[in-house]
Amino acid sequence: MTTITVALAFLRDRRRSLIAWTLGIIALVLIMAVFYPSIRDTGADFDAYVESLPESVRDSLGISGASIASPEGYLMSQMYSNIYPIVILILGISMGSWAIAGAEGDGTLEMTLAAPLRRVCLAWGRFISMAAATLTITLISTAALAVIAPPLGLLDGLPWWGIWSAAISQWALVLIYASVAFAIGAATGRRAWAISGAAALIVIGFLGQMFASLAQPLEYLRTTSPWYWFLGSSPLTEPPGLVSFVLPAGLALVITVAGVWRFDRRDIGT
Amino acid sequence: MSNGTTANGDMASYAGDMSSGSSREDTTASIDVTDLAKSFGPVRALDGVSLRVHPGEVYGLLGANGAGKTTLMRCLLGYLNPSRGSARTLGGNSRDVDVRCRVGYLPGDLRLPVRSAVQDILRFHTRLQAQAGRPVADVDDLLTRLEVPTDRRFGALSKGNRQKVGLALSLLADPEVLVLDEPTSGLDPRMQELVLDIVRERRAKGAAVLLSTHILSEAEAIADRVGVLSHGTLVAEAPLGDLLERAQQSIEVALDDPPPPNILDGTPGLVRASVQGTEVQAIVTGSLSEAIRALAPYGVRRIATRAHELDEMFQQTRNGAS
Repeated sequence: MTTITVALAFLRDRRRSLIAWTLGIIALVLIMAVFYPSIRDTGADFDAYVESLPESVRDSLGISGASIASPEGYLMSQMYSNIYPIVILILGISMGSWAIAGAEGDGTLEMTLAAPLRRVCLAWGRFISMAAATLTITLISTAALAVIAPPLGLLDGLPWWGIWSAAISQWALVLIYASVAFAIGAATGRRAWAISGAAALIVIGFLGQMFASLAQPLEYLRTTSPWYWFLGSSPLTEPPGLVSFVLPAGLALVITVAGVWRFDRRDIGT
Repeated sequence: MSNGTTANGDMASYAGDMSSGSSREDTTASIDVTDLAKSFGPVRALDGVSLRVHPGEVYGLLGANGAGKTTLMRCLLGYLNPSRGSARTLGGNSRDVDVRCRVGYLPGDLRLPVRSAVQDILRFHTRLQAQAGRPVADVDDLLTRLEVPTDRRFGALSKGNRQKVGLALSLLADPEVLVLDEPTSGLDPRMQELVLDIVRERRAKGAAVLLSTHILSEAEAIADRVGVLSHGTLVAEAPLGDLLERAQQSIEVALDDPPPPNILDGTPGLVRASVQGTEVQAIVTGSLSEAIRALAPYGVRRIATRAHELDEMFQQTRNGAS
């Protein structure tokens, strides 16, 4: 009950910001969608260009298995391996790093903990609100896509649940890195460390899964990247599974438990 | 001319007696700090502090900036883990919800979400109090009395109004223990008096109050006992009147006629004195009235006095004794 109270208060404090994020991400999705017909109509040129790219680069861009002129190829290359998850990652890392470390840095955590509230409840409440906010914005922007995509032919040939499946898998990806930011912030109280740590892992994960396949002995390393779990699992045509959802969500949970455990034991506000 | 050895010796033994006496276990105390030490790396912020605050008592914690007052309060409230010793509230740990819901806290540097409306902040804390099984009593009366502007964003409030919000939050649960870090900071004189009145009321209701301040007059007005923290050590603990009697004061007097060089010999509490023509300088422990009375026949043209800070004085005493 206390955890829910904390989560709701955290969301209420950020309601204006979250509304702005939601509108911005919906606008981004709609802009990407309306460009699809022009890409589709010049598909042969794009496909020729894509074919000239190394296979590992095509994989990392989400266009290994389908023409970029097809709905699946376009959505994977222009949305799910592009700026769309990056923007939601920025939101998740921002909220995750602020949840404990940001509040501690600006001094508001002290008065929050002056209330009859266990640290563990505070931490989980704020983690839940971050997870709920990123999931809600992902689903709302997916709903916007579901409305505008059919007239543009952007869902042709895809199962009806395809974009919802991709949304859930993408959220699991966001959850990993947001939980890293949350846990580093909770464990150290340093927001800069939380943001830079999560950002570094995002870059390492993305570039690592791209370049690991270029060197045959290192190709197995691709499978350690959360980006590969998401992009390599054909999220538009396969429902969320062990690799695309259970593994990242479980890992996020483990990372969060570690951060909360440390937060519960350390000094606050030093 | 000097009788400083006697005065210093008295104070050192007094501080030593206080320290050993406070280490005894006292199950009736609402606040029980025993041999508390806290280090931040090589910096020792608290070193072997012991104190008790009983129900219906206001304990004033005096000390300069960096003396360790806030660190002691933060250890007591569970924000910091002691390096040694213990800090207990109402017989338990302040981090336990069933203890925490009976404790009010006002930090010295109050920070609340600047974009949140005051009423939202109050609602959040009220709800948590209710969930902890200790609903707030009469919040409207408290807010009216403190003149808290509930309909505005916290960030839009003046420093004084922010302090009122913090004070209201600390009093929400009708606490049995009140920990106030410089509670009148930023308030106008009328509100300062109101805050002190509220503290007196809480004391009358049986609350134990630990209040830090560097304003001696504030401590004098409200504290039943005071402790003086200096460099992380509790160097003195007594009723404030007793401490002031032990405080040293400097006095500089300009006279019309030159007095004899030994004019102040035998003055009670005299630490040292010097006479150069019509100018007299002296350091006296306790009251200055006897020294002034002795100088009065020579025509006093000007008097300047300076009270030494309590913690500075006791630290000197402690160093001198060791």
